Amino acid sequence: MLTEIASRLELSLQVAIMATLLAVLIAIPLGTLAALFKDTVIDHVIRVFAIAGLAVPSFWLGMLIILGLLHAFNWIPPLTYTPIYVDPWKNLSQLIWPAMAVGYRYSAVATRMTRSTLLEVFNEDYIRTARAKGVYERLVVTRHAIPNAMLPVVTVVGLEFAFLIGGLVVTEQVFNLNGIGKLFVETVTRADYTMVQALVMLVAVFFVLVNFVVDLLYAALDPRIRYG
Amino acid sequence: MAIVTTTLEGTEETKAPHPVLQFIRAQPTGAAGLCFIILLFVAGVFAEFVAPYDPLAIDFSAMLAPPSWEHWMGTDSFGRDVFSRIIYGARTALAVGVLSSLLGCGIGAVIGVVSAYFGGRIDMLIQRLMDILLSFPIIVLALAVVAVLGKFPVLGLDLNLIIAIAIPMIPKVARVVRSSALAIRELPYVDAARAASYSHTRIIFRHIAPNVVAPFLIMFTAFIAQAILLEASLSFLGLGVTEPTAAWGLMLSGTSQEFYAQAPWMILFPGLAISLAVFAFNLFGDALRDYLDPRFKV
Repeated sequence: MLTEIASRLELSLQVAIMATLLAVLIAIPLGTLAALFKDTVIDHVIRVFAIAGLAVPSFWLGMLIILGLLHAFNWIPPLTYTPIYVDPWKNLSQLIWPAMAVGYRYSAVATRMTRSTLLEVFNEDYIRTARAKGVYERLVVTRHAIPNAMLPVVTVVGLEFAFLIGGLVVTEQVFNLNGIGKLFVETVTRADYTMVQALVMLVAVFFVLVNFVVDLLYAALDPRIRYG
Repeated sequence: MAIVTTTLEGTEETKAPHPVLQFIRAQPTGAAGLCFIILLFVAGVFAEFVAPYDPLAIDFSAMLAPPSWEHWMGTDSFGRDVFSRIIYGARTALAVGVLSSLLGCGIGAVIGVVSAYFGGRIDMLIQRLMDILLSFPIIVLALAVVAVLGKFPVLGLDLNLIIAIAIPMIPKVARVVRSSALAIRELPYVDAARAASYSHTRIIFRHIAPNVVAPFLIMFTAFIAQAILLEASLSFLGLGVTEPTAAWGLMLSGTSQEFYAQAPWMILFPGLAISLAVFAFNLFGDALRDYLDPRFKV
C-alpha cells in the first residue's frame, strides 16, 4: 500500500507544485495591476478573470484544454507517465496542462487576495512617506508595497497548495494521470476503507505540514515575527 | 421599514426606496447574478414546460447531432437532447445545492452560536473538532462521506449525497457564525435576557440567532455555489447523482468522455451551465455581502 501511494504521490506533488508556480506567476502581476489601476477597465477585466476562475470547474477546463490541443496539435494525453528524471521535456509537456487546469482557479484566488491586500497597503503611512520623499512609483510598488502585501498571499497560496492534492482528484481523471486523486476515487468506488483512511490521513498530515511551513515563511517574510 | 410607515402624514416622501431597489442600485452586478439565479429556478421548477424534449428520451436517429434548430445544443451519444438535459440538470443542481447548503449552514450556524454562547470548555472542544474537519480538502471529505454512507435515495434525490456535500461546509460556517455571535454575546440585552432567567435555548434562538442572520445569509448563498460545483465534481466522478438522472456533472462524464472530441457540444454546454450558475451565485453572494455588511469577509 505504501509503495502504491509513494509512486502516485510523486506525480500529484509535481502537478501541485507546477500549478502553484503557475498560479503565483499569474496572480502577483495580475493582482498588482488590478490594485494599481483600481476601478479602471484593467481592474474590471482582471476581476472578471478572477471571479470566472472561481466558477469554472477545473475538470471542465481540463477537457476544454484537451479539446483545444487535439484540434491545434492533434495531441492526446499519453497513457503512461514519464517521470521528470527520465525525460524532463516529455514529462513537462504532459503535466503542464493539468497544472494549468487546476492552476486557473488557484491563480484566481491568489489574484483576488493580492489585489485586496495591496489596496490596503497602499493606504499605509509608509507608502505615503515613500511617495513624499520622491521614490519612483515603480520602486514604491516593488520595494515598499508588494513585500508588505505578501503575508496574506502566502497564506492563501499555502492553504490552496495543501488542498490541491485533494483538488487534483477530479482533474487527474480527465488527464488520465495515475496520481493520488485517481487512486482516491478508485478506492472510494471499490469501498476499500483501509486505503480511504490512509489517503485521508495522508492529506490531513500534508495539510498540517504545509501550514507549518507557511508559519515558518511568515518569520522569513516579516522581520517582526520571531518564533522561540 | 415598518417604523417609517407609522410616521406622521406628509412625511412619506422621505420614505427610503424599497430594499430590493436599493440593492439593484448599489450592486448592479449582484442584481444581474440574481436575475440569472431566478431564471435558473424558473427553468428548474418548470422544467416540464421549458424543456422541448424528454431528458431521458433516447433517439437513435439523432445520435451525436450537432446544434440545430431542432436540438439547440445538439444531442448526446444516446440521441438525448442536450438542452433539455441541461434544463432538468438545473433542477438537480439547485435542489442538491440549496438543500445541502441549507443543511450545512444550518448545522454550522447552530454549532457556531452554541459554541460562542457557552464558551469555555465546550467552545474549546467544538472548535478543535471543527479544526479537524477543516484540515481535509472539501472534495476529499465529501468523497470519504460518500464512501462510508453509500447511497440513500429519497424522492429521486440522494440524501447521503446532500449530507456529503453539507458536512465540509459545517466547520467554515461554524467559525464565521461563532465570531459574530461572540460579539453579540457581550451585548447588554443578552445579559438582560439571562437576568430574566430565560432558558439557554430561548436566548440562543430568540436573542442571539436573529443577529447572526446577515453572515448566515451571505454564507448560505456562497455555499450554494460551492455545493453546485461539488455536486458536479462528484457526479462527474460517478459518485454523486447517478444515470439516467439529468445532472450537469454527469453529462460531462460517461460516454461524453469517449465522444467529446467529435461532439464538443456534449461537454461545452453542461460545463458552461455549471460555470454560469456558480458565477451567478458568487456575484450575488459578493454583492449581498457588500450590501449587508461591508466589513464581513467569507
